[in-house]
Amino acid sequence: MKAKLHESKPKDVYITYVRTTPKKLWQALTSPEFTRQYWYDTWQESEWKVGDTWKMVAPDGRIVNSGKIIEIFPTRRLVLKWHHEFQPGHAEGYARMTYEIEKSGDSVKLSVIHEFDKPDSKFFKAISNGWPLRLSSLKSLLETGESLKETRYWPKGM
Amino acid sequence: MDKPNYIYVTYIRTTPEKLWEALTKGDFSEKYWFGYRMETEWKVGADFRLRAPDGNLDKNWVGKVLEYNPFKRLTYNTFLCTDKTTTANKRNGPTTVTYELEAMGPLVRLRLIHENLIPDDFESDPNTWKGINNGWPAVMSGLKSLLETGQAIVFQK
Repeated sequence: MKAKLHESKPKDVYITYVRTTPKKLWQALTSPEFTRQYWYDTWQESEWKVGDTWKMVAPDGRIVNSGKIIEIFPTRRLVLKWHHEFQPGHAEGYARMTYEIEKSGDSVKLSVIHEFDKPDSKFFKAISNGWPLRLSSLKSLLETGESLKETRYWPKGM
Repeated sequence: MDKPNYIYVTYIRTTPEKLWEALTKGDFSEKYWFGYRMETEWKVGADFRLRAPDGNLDKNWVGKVLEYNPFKRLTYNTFLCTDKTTTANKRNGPTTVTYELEAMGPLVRLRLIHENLIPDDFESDPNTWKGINNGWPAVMSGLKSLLETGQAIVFQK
């Protein structure tokens, strides 16, 4: 399914192809037993319906990011609006994140699209720059059963 | 955007030596690069060519090796497979492709940097393999799968 992206704001797009199924990829993107392995031991809390709140939670229970679900089509598309809860926090504005999942031959194409209220925000750039490592780890997890070790643990002192 | 470039970064659980081999040998590239084999002597100044799955040398993807620093960095220049006369006329010269490898413990970080592109090289339709923004993620993903699982990815044509 194709939907129009916001054309007004600059976008960062990250694409990877993973030999898995749309259902397994969706599970890996949303369920704690998976996200903990490639997203620094964090998990997401949400009822996963349009309009619901969405939170990303650190291993010690602190809320790292919070926002809401804008669109959700399980195994196909998820759009979130979120902002960061630690400093610099709300001052940096909101980000909009889209996951698009499409079957492609014997693999699944995952597109992660970021749009930021403040495109020149250093903070969001740093977040954006973390995606290649997380996506690589997610791909290794689904294809080999093992995520990349560097992405399994919450950074000390953060 | 005068001369857009394209960057793709991936982390692969492999060694710099194995990754280098996969990036530089036709026997490997054939598995993850839509069946294309690279042909070159890998010396600065040497010709760089791509042989298509039908056995013919691609007539556009022609260039020279510019830099060759084993297990660390290589650069070659080339026009693109999809170049037609109209596209080639818009260029001020060939594009350049650079692979940068950085060993990070059990991982290697691979940065692909494709430069001196023109807006025509990017494709807004995500449902095609045309456009370097559509092609490179597929090639890089297939490469990572090949090195980590022994099997590249079969893409739908």
